[in-house]
Amino acid sequence: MNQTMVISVMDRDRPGIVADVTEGIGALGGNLADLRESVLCGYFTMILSAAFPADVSVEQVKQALTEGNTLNVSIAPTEGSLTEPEDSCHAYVLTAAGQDRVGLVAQVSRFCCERGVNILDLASHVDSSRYTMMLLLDLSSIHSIETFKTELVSFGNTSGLSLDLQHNDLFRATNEI
Amino acid sequence: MIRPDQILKTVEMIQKENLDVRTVTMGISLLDCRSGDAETTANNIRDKIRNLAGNFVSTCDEIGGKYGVPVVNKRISVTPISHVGAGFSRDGFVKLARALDQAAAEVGIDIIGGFSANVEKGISQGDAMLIDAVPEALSTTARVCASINAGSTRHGMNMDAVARLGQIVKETAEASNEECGFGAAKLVVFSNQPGDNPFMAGAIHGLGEAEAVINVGVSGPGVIARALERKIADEGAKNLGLGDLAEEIKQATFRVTRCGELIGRQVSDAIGLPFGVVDLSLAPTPLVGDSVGEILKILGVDKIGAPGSTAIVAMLNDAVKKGGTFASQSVGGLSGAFIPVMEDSELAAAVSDGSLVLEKLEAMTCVCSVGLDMVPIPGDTSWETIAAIMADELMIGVINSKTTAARLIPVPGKKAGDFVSFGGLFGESVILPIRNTGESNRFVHFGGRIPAPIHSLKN
Repeated sequence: MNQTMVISVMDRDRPGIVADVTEGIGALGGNLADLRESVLCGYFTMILSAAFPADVSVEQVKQALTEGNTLNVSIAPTEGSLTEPEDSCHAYVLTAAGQDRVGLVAQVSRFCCERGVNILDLASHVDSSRYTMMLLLDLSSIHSIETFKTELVSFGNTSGLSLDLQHNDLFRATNEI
Repeated sequence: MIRPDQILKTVEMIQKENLDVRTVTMGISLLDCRSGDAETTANNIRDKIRNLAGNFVSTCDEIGGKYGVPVVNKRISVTPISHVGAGFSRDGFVKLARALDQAAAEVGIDIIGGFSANVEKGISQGDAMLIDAVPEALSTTARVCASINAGSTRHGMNMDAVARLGQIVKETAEASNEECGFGAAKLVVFSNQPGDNPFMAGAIHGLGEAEAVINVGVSGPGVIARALERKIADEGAKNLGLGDLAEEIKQATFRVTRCGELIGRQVSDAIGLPFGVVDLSLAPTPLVGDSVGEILKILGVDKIGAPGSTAIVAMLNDAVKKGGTFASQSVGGLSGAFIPVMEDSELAAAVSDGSLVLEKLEAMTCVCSVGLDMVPIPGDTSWETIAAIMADELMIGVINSKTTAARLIPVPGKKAGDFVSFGGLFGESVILPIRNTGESNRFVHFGGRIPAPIHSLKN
C-alpha cells in the first residue's frame, strides 16, 4: 500500500530546484499528487504531496532530496488520502489595509483564530507605506455572517484597519472566464 | 485563490465605484387572474403577486448582503394589463392599476411595471380602455408604471396610437399637476418593446415568457468611468487610441455583468423561479459619479452634445454589449447605455448650459440603448408636437431594428429654461426648449399607419 508524504522545500532561488526535487522523488518511486511553489525576496519555497511505495522511509526521502545540495527539507508522513478543502459556499475574502506597522497580520489572524475561522490562503501587498493583506477565510464555523461583519467593523475601528469582507464567488465571477 | 491584484480591483469596484446590481425584477404572468369582473380580477392579481413575491425583497437583501453587493431596486413586471383586463371599462382598468399598486406596497416593491398594451398595428377595445385609463391610473397610484408599444420593425408604426398617446402624455402630466407632471415620468411609449426588460418604467412580462421569472439589470457607469480614468492615468492619453478605451469598457462591463448574473442566479435559486436574462445596461442615477454623461466627457468631448457625442455613445453602447454578452449566459432586455436626461447629473448640466439640445439628444438616441428618456419639456407643448417628437423617436427604432422609446414630461405651468425636480432616482433638470413647435400638426392629423420598413437595400 502506498504512503503519502507532504514535503516542504526552501532554498535560495536558482535554476534546477524543482528538477532536483522531483527527480529525487521519482527515483524512489514517488508519484506527485499536488504542488505549489512561490518565490519571495530571492528565496524559493515549495510544498508538495507525493505517494511513495510502502517500503520507502521518511529518512530515505530526506536523504535523497538533501544529498549534494543545501535544500531545507521537511517531510510529514500522512495517513490515508489527502483531500483539499472543497470550494465551499463559506469561502470569503477578507481584505485588510492600513498604515504599515509591526503586528498587522498577527492582529488580523488572531481575530480570525478567536472566532474559529480558518485562513485558507493569505497574500499581502505593500504600496509605499500602505500594507494590504488578502485572506481567504473559511467561515463555515460562523453562524451569522452579519454578526461577524459587525465584529469586523468594531475590530476595524480599534485597529485602524480598513476591512472588507466579500464572498469568494464574487471574485471568481468577476475574474475568471 | 484569485490573484491579489484581481482581488484589489474587485474590492475597489464595489467599494469606491458604485458597483451594484441596479435591479432584480420578478416577471409575473397575470393571465390566469382574469375573471368576469374587474373587482375579482383585481383580487386575483393581489393574491398572485403576494404569493409569488412575498419574500422577494428580503431574499434580494439577504443575497446582496451575503455577497457585499447591494441590490438597489427590487421590482416586479407583469403581463401587459390590456390582456388581463380586455373587456373591462376604463374604470375597470383603473381598478386593476390600483390593485397592482396595493400588491406592490404589500410586498415592499417601490415600482411595478406592466400597465401596458401593444398597439403597434392596431388598437383593440381593451387597449383603448387601458390607454384611456392611463392618466387617472398614473396620477392616483404611486408605484405603477405604464408602457405602450406603438411601433415595430415588423409592422411599422401606428400613428393613430401615437397621436392618441400625445394626448395621453399631456393629460397624464396635467393630472399630476401638483407633482410637476410626475405621472408622465411613469409612462413610456416604445417601438420594438422587449418583453424581458427589467428596467422601469418600461418593464413588462411579455406574452412569450414563463409563468414567473427573475431578470437582472446591471449598471455601473461609475465602474466604467473609473476604469477609463485609471487606464488614461496609467498609460497616458497620448499612448491610447479609442480602440484601447473600447477594450477597457468591454473588460469593465464583463466584470460588472458577471457580478449581476451571480446575484441574479442566487436570487432565482433561493426563490425557486427560473432565471431569465441579464440586461447589460449602463443606467445612471442622479448621484455624482454614477453618470453616463461623465463617461462621454472622459472619452473626449468637453461638453455633452458637442460634435462627436453621437459617435462616442455608439462606441460605448457597442463595447458594453460586447463585454456583457461574453460574460452572461443569457442576455436580453434593453442592454446598452441609457441617456435619461433628468436621471444623469452630467446630462442635466449639459441641458442647463445649453450644450445639449433636443435634436442632438435625438441623434444620440439612434445609437443608445433606448431613446428620449426622462426629457422634461414645456407644459404648453401641444399634444400634436408631443406626438410628432414621439413619432420621430419611435421611427428611429422601427427603421433600424432596435428598441427606441420616449418618456417625455410636459411639466405643467413651466416653460423652457425653468427647473424641475422629482427627487430621488428620477432626478432633476432644466426644461428643454422645443423648436418648431406646432409645425407638425398636419403630419400628426393624417393618422393611419407608417408601413413596415423594407428589410433589404439597407443604406
